[in-house]
Amino acid sequence: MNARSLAVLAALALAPAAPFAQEAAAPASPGAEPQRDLAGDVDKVAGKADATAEKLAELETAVAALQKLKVSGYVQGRFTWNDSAIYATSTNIDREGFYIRRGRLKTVYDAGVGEAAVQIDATASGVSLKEAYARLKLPYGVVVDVGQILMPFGYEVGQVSSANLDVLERSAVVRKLLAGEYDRGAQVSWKYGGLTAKVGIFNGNGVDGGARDNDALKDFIGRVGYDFGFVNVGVSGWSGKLRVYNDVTSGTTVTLAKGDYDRTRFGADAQAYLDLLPIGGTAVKVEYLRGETIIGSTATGADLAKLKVGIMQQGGYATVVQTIGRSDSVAVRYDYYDENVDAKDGDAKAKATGTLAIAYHHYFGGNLKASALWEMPRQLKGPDGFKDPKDNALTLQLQASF
Amino acid sequence: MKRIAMLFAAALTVAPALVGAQALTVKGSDTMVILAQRWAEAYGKQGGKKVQVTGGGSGTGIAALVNGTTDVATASRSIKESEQLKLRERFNLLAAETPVAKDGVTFYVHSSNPVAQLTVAQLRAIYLGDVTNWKEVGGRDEPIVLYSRENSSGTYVFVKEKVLGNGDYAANAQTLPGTAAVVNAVAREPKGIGYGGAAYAKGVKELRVVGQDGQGHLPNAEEVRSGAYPLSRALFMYTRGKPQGDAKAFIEFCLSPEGQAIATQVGYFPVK
Repeated sequence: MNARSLAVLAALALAPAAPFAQEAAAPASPGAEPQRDLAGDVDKVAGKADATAEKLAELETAVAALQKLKVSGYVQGRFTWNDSAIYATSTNIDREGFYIRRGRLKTVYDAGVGEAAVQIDATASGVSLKEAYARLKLPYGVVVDVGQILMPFGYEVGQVSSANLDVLERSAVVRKLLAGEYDRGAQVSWKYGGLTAKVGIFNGNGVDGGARDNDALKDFIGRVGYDFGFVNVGVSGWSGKLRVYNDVTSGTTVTLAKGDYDRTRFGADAQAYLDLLPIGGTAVKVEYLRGETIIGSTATGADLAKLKVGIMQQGGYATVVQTIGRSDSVAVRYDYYDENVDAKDGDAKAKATGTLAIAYHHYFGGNLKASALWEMPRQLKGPDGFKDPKDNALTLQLQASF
Repeated sequence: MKRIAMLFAAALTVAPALVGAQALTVKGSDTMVILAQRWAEAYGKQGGKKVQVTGGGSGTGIAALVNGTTDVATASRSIKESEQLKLRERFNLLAAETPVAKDGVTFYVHSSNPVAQLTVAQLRAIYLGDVTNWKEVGGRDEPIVLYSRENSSGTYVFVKEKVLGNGDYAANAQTLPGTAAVVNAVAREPKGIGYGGAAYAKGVKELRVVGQDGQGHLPNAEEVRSGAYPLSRALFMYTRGKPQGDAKAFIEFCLSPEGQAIATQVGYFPVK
């Protein structure tokens, strides 16, 4: 129903009914009421209808513009209990407590050929910029993004929102080699049927590395994948370097010499979605990463020393997710991370951890999800005589999205 | 703390068993809502489970399937890739599509309108706003009043893709909720044109649409089955994964000879 029709109905509802009432014309006689000017009343109603139609047309224009703006987000409120090794009285970290893990707010303005998006993350630690990009949509499925965007690598970072993680957090190797999930750069993506390809040039040190690029070198990151529907597979690559401008010393000893160090990754991921059981779908997801030089701050020599510069690491995970009916699901993940591939068990620099995580999710409709997660890390490789620390953790989460 | 978490998880495990006692929910296409209600009534009379049918549009039904708030989604269009991805992410499987009837998207005009036949190109020009007067397509010298559907409607999407070539509807096209509203509006407006499912064409004139053979075709059983009518489409039911349990039994009833006879009575066409 258009603006004018609505305006006429509105005006008629508001106008006196008398102009349209069938009244017999009374003969003029002394003392009788004067006849109504029906034509004048109709003109008044038509005038009101036109004015209302004009206002409605303005409203429709405003609404049409607002329909291009989409606001979404989610809040993850958590309670976590940590086993003794995770907290330390000397650093004042609570053994258990409530916190906001993520408070995301994302706005996207889709103007057809162009798109803009901004996403912030608000927690008790502060508000940070997660994502901000300008997008150009070209013909033949080509899209160009410039700004702070997801690293186009793998599955857990490149394809899954933090609101939909099977065991609430990404795997250990992803949290190290792809820390922060976002970086600043420019990316081209292309989609043709089930084939997708993304490649970009980035600063390379991620958002966790600081507000500005740490060196003059840029990294190339990309993924090629094919989605068959019930199976989705992809391979990812990362080629770049980290430049250390000055020797990092400890006393008179150079612990990290200045120079350019490789920051590379290779990854492969696959997900299968199986309709096997009557209670719901079953997903099996695997991912493998191998690379050197993790992501983090480069502000000081001590920061650089934490980046495992030039040290090859590898890891991966296998996850099975079982949907149960309309509202529930269970996920089990085994996650392995070797922080130094070249170090053998017993070496001073050896460390590898395998973590079994079991999560249960209950969905209250489409916007609310309650989760319980039990994590059991076990150190598998370490310095001579190492002991597996008591670092199990239980997390309860309520997530609301909009 | 561990015991509380285990009790919490155990309680959630019991919850699904309680869900099975509720009615089967069918939600979605306004084009199919009357048909689905007739199926539900007949299914119940022969001892089947209670089926609760609601409309809202194909997009609304599929969104409810993704959110888990309906068992079966009815749709007068195919599910989109983005909707499949959302369903896969939430439920770890894809939607299964079952065609349950055929329909011919019909363009209606007022019974007094002298125009009896249009080509798809003419319909496109009218709904894109390039043609604004009936005289340009052989009718009276009067402005064309356009009626359309909301964008959650599968019929809206079908016409946008098949007739408009994914172009945008004219800005002056009046959006109405449901085919019945479109028919009602066209029946009252001599200059009007609207579209919807073939089953709703009462009190208005159906336009012939020129097919690939250069001839005008009406959306009747013979023309839709043969494919001569150029705007034929399948009507679908979607489930999360292959149909099972109560949903499977209901869909099988809809596809049975009795169910397909009901589709014909309502004004649609059998799927085979």
